[in-house]
Amino acid sequence: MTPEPLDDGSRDLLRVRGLHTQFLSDRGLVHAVNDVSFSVRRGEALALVGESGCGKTATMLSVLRLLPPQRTRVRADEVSFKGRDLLGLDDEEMRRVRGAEIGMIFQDPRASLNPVLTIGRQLTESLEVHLRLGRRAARDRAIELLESVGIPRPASRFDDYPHQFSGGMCQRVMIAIALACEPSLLIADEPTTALDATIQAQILDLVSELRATREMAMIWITHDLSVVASLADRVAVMYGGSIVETAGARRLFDAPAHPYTRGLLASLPALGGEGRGRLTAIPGQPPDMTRLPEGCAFAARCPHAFGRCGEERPPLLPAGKEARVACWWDG
Amino acid sequence: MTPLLEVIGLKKHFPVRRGMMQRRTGSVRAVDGVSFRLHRGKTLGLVGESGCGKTTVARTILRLTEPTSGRIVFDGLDLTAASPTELRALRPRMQMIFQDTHSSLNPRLSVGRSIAEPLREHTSMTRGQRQDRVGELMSIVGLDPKLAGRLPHEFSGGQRQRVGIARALALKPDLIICDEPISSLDISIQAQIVNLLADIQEEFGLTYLFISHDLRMVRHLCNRVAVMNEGKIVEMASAEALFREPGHPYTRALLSSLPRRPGPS
Ligand SMILES: Nc1ncnc2c1ncn2[C@@H]1O[C@H](COP(=O)(O)OP(=O)(O)OP(=O)(O)O)[C@@H](O)[C@H]1O
Ligand SMILES: Nc1ncnc2c1ncn2[C@@H]1O[C@H](COP(=O)(O)OP(=O)(O)OP(=O)(O)O)[C@@H](O)[C@H]1O
Ligand code: SF4
Ligand SMILES: [Mg+2]
Ligand SMILES: [Mg+2]
Repeated sequence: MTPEPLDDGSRDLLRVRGLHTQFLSDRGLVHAVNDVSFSVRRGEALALVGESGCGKTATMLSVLRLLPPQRTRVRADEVSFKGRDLLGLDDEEMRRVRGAEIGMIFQDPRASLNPVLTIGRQLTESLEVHLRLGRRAARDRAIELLESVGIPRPASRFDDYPHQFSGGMCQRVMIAIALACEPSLLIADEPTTALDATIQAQILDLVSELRATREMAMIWITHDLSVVASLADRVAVMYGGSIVETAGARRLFDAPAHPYTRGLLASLPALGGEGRGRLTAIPGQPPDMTRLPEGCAFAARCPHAFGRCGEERPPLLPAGKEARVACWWDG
Repeated sequence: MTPLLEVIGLKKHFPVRRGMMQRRTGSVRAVDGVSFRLHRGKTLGLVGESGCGKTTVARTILRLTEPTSGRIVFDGLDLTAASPTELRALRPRMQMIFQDTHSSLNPRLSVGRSIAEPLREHTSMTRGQRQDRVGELMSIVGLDPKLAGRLPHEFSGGQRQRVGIARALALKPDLIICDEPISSLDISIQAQIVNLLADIQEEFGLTYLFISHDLRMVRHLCNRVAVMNEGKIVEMASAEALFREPGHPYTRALLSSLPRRPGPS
């Protein structure tokens, strides 16, 4: 399937160039996102993976302009969606893009649901505003959506409040809300962490169908590599606030190039294994994001580090077909 | 040998109320007759589809939610009949790592103070001792102790989850109920936390009730596994046997829907 060109003639639905995000904290500036560039085409699924605290959520919240301006600094050479400059939109226009064209699933579902509105109301509200459905139609559609994310007997749970739902049920409500307006881009931040394999498979089927029928594109932030394998066309690996490797999903799993990606893949436990042995973790600690080293951020933990790594930060350079790697080592 | 924890016929039914008058129109049978025994130094896995009642089991064991009926016996003491004083004395011995960091961490307290809170309440440590212990706890869950002054929202999702783990470990409890303790951590840090849980179990004879949908980790960490479905335990077996030959059709469904394992072969 070849995506149709967008207004500006390119096939990129979302394009981000040179994104930097910093948080002001009592210990100085936290350099959460450092010169991140990526793009997503219509219908494409990009997975964003990387260690806890490496800047995945901050990247997405910056793109969506959802970080509190008082305590954060965001700058970028380009953040464009369907050829439109998102950084130039006023707040009202941006809200409309977020509600209707970009669906979001936040990492902490309970924090992002409104505790004083019923589950049903939170869904119908956005259907009424963005799709202009009437009350009745919105209710029917909302129940359908809850059913599609596997909430049993949705009509009878429609008037429940979030605290009456389990963790995984709240997560699925978030997913239903994000999909309600038939967005052309879905940004999902760890959307299935609280779901068992059965329901996770159902959700993955659901989004795959939306990709196939409506060319919905996705950015899927996850640490679950089996989800990445079954879902993503392309993977971007982040470390210390920067993308250190990006490649087609198959290629990344078959031949990971960056030492961090290799370590990540090596820490997967096997289901058929002997059970209670020790798991392999990447030794060492993630870098202090207030004082990132001048050279490669992974150098302190990298088994292949050599002189140059400590002095100069490796740029993200092409490495084979549609792949890029930021590493000085060429093993 | 008497088990450390025994749960007998535990039920929790939530009333369903509808309409203006909030009339009771039925109930959600979140937990519907659950029984199991958990021996000291062992790990019992609790798995099952989202919404099947796992968190409710955990919360009723700790009496954070009042059970509808059933008995919970901890180290020979019937918690359902215990006095508030007796319960308070037991508190430090039973801890929980919550699924949901959003509602379990006070947003206005620095994470250092959150971790120190149980120490302040249940030990006679001095301020300095508490600070040292907080630093030590943060390091063992892979957090930089220098970040103790930050508020929860200044952490990433996985970092917050580790604050919850540090807090549960603070008092060296006998029993830890882990409710999806590693779900928002990347696999390398998952491995680090799971190794840590195994190490302190070995060292201090800790007992875990380990709730997770991650069957690989359950297989890795648990001696026995209970499979729940719609409020009931439908199968209980040693981890090895369960994964080798799941008996209940529901367990088979759960296992067969596991996504395949990626990675270089
Ligand atoms: N409001 C804030 N103030 C200060 N530092 C922050 C703030 N929010 C995030 N950080 C820091 O910025 C870094 C990136 O955070 P981010 O939430 O993007 O991580 P992440 O990759 O999403 O991690 P996780 O997988 O654990 O969710 C982290 O080191 C975090 O501690
Ligand atoms: N306070 C409450 N009031 C009403 N119903 C509730 C309440 N808490 C939980 N429930 C319901 O009880 C059932 C079991 O919820 P529980 O949170 O125990 O599930 P769980 O197995 O932990 O699921 P998950 O894996 O999604 O976290 C669900 O149907 C939930 O909606
Ligand atoms: S640049 Fe050097 S330290 Fe960084 S990942 Fe490559 S080899 Fe390792
Ligand atoms: Mg995050
Ligand atoms: Mg739960």
